[in-house]
Amino acid sequence: MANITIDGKPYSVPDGSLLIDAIDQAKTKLPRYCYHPGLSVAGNCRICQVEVEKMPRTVIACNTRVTEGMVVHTASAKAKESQQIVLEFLLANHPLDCPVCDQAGECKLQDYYMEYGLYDPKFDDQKVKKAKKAVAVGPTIMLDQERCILCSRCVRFTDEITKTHEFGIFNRGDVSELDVYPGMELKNNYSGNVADICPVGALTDRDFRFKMRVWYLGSQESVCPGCSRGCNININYERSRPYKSDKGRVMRLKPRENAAVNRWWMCDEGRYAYKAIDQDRMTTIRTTAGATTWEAAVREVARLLKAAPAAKWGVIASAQHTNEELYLVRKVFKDLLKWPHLGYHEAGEDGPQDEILLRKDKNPNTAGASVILDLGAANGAASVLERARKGELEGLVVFGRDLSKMGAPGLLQEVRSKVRTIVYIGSAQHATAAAADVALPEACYAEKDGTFTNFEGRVQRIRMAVPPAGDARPGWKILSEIAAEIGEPLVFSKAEEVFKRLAAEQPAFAGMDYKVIGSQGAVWSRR
Amino acid sequence: MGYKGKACDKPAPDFSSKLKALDAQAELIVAKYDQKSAATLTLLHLAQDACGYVTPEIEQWVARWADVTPVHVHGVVTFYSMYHQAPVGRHHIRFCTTTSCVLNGSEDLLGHVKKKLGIQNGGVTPDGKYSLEESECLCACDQAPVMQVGDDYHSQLTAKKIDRILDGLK
Amino acid sequence: MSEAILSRNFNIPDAHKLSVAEPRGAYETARKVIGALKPEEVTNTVLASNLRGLGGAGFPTGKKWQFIPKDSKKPVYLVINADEGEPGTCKDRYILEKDPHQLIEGILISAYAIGSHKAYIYIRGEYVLPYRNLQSAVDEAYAKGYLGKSVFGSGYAMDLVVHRGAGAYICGEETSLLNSLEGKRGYPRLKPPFPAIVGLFGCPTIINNVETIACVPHILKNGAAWFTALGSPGNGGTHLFSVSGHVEKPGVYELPMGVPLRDLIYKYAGGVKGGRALKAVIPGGMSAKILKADEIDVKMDYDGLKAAGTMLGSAGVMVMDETVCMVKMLYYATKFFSHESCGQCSPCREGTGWAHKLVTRIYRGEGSVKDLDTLLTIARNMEGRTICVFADAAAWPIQSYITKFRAEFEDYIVSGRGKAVAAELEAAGAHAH
Repeated sequence: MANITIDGKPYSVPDGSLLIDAIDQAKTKLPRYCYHPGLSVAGNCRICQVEVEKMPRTVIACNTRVTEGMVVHTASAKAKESQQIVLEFLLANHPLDCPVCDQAGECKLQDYYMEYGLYDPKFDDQKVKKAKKAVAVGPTIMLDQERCILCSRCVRFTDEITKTHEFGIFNRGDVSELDVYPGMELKNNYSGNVADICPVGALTDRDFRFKMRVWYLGSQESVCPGCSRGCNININYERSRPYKSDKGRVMRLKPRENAAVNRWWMCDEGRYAYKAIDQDRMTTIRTTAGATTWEAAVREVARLLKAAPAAKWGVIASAQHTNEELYLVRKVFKDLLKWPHLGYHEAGEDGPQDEILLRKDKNPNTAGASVILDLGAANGAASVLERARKGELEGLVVFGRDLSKMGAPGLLQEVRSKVRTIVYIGSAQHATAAAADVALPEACYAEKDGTFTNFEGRVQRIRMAVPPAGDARPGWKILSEIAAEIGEPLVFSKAEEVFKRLAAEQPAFAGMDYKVIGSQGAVWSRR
Repeated sequence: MGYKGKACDKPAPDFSSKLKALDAQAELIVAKYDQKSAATLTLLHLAQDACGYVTPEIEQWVARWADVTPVHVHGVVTFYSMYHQAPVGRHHIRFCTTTSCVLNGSEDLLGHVKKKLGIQNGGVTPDGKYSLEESECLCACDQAPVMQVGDDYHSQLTAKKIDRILDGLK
Repeated sequence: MSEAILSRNFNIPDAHKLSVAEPRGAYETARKVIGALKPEEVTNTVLASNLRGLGGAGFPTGKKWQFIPKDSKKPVYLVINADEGEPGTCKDRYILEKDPHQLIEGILISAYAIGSHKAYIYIRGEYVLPYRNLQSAVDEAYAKGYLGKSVFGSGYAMDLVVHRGAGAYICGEETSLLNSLEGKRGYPRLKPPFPAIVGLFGCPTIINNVETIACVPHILKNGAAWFTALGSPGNGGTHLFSVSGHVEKPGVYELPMGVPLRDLIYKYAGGVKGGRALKAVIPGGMSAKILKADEIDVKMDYDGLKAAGTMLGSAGVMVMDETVCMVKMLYYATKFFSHESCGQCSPCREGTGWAHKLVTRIYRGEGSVKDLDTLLTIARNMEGRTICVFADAAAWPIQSYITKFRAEFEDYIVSGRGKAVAAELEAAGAHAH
């Protein structure tokens, strides 16, 4: 370890670490454009200038290694002057039309001008003209070459992370420009990340572009439900219309740093899946007896389940459910009702997998389902459905899933014709929801609290970003009320309480609570 | 930048047979280097000498031999002033415009060349015979003013000497 | 003139051929050194000779060689910087074109000293004739067994590849050169690490200028003391001074380090052309700060010119007579630097272009006196904030021309004569806007 001083305070940091990382760990603000902890060091933007005592000139923190006794000033007059000077160069050829730029509000040129700039601009000549102003470089990203400050983050991202090599910097000097290889498109499953790491308005997300000014966005920490990786995300939503799901409340997803899970990235598949939050939702209660309130609906369903012969009913559980919900599914159907026919996974749920983030299991909580439901080898939804198809079942409770997308074509119709009662509890309005006798609207992942366990056994929190659409309620709430109605007093007012109970009963979750899990998750204790 | 010849608008000709004929040489070039990628500049010289300028097809051919990506090759092509992305004249003129040549009258001589050929920096004469690039120091300062036509340096230029040189070319 | 050492074959017809060079002593020293002396002995001799890098930086060569890690498991490379590009400099071209065997012999000895078995010569792309002569010399050396598996039958293996650049001044910067040699855009590398530790292909590498390496056989032949005595204290040997501009006899002059600049101009280069008065001299290539006529009583070596507030650089001496317009000269200087900036670091990329725009408008009669101060600010702000020293080099002409000739710049602006200059240039067809 090296003992260094940053802005008058002592720190002990690992030998040889980059000064900029030490400064970040010390929670000291320092401007940067080209430096990104997930990419190689380029050192080209030159703005992270700091004063290091005994060095004649300011140096860039991103290419300086700490040494014992180093005394660093990030905000001395000398450091600030140097930062300001570099900023003025960066802005010399940059358009000054922030009001019409989509990046406004999350632009590092804008931010740093306010924090470190505020000089009297001297540049009064023609700015360099470049060819590509707002040109799509692929399905997801728009390029504005004049706004680009050539920090090369996107080039390094496509070279080092995706290894797809779409971007390059062409020409030299002040006519250098960023572009994709002529004739090539930026088209990989991680393309959206380049808009995240672009510090200025050069690369913007076509999906989000001009949809909304960022200062109207609310943000909530969550986890992507798109696969078993569980990438940490922020859900950005429109603050002024939280209930108007028809207009779209969630505006975009942004990856949230988690070194152990997704580092700084997320895939496009997950990123653009947010639209489902506000589309094709089931928002009203529908029962055979015509219940319209939750009280009536829960009573009706509880009566139905209680009266059902255990061996004649089946449950299709969901690995899209949170740990809390799976715990209650287990309590109600396995422990309380003692139904033997439970399943949650289906081979057809697998999709592509890669070396970066993407997992072939498209469920966020298969690991949780496996441990909590504890079904052993017989976890297949297929065997439950097979029974239903053969006419061995009278009733079926389906969580979330659309049977028309599972198994062989026509499965839903076949099951429907053989099974007398189908209860559907889920958030999407689809063929199975339409075919069900009872349909209860459930909150989606962005509308509730809970936890998912990723494929590595990391338990991570999701949080409510927007209230449930229409009459929808979180699954844990629906299940706890059904349980209470059946006669088991599993009454919880918050998902956190469900988790407490789960942690007390399930050894894998021992010692965990929401505080322990925090924003970065906690890993199962292995038995 | 001075002369860099933006990518050609017209569809590029098919150089596949020319490139195929260079494969054997390319293999020898790549073998000289400790890493294949190091052959990038040399392979570009080879292909440009044979084809006249660098097209996307050539970039991809170089990328294959040097085991790099096409976007890498394109970055290289656009960085160095000697690679052309559009056809140049049969006689490409690099006219030095740096200090020692300026001290020896290159401003007027450059004007003379431009008027004589009727082209500006980066231009090609309509008959495709000459093209002009204002170049930075060619490092023959003791012989200033100088220009390079094709591979050859011409020094201690005067308007008369320029006429003689250019008119003498086929 | 003193004894010709490096230039002794420049006027010998066909000296680039082995058949001419060898009877004149080529490879004699290398043959004696390789296998007979220990590599450290060679390095120590070079160290004692006070040989300093003749590409511009003036770093002691023997000291540089000692930076190579002693027990490197990776191969060690020797790279020769023949990317001559500094305006005002035309010395390496003579060695490459006229006496390439002298260079190859120097490479053999130097590579042997640093434990390298492979060298690359990076020669600028425009040097076609020098390249051809050099390549044929290399081929001859291979044919004779002076290069290859067993140099002179000593068992010492040495390979040499000549690599052509493709038009980029920045590739003369040694780490830019390495990137270019590796087939990349010529972006200078972040330092540390330094090339002696992580250089070509990630291996320990020594990069030396052509002229520097050409000195090595002479040092080994005649001894360090002989070489030291040729120069001035701390600046060993002779140097090839390129003299151009307004002199009667422009040329490349081999003279002892420390020769007075006044002598170089008046004694060797025949004085100012046409007997006109001297106005200014750039002593070490475009990047060196300009000296006024009354500042030329300086010694042409690293220390002498440093003391005069400028630098020896590449020893490219550009002489300007009384007729020269400093605005025009600054216009061409900033044009050069904005054209040649690699564009990697923001202060340089934006600063060189911005400065050239300002000088252009002054040159065309559209500037203001305030622009001069902006230029000085830009120059000051570019200094010391980039990966390599290109931005500093670009700043120095701006600073030195404007501060030393401020009255002339102001007069040019106030008189408005730039408008007439612009009109003339347009009429002559030299500038099109």
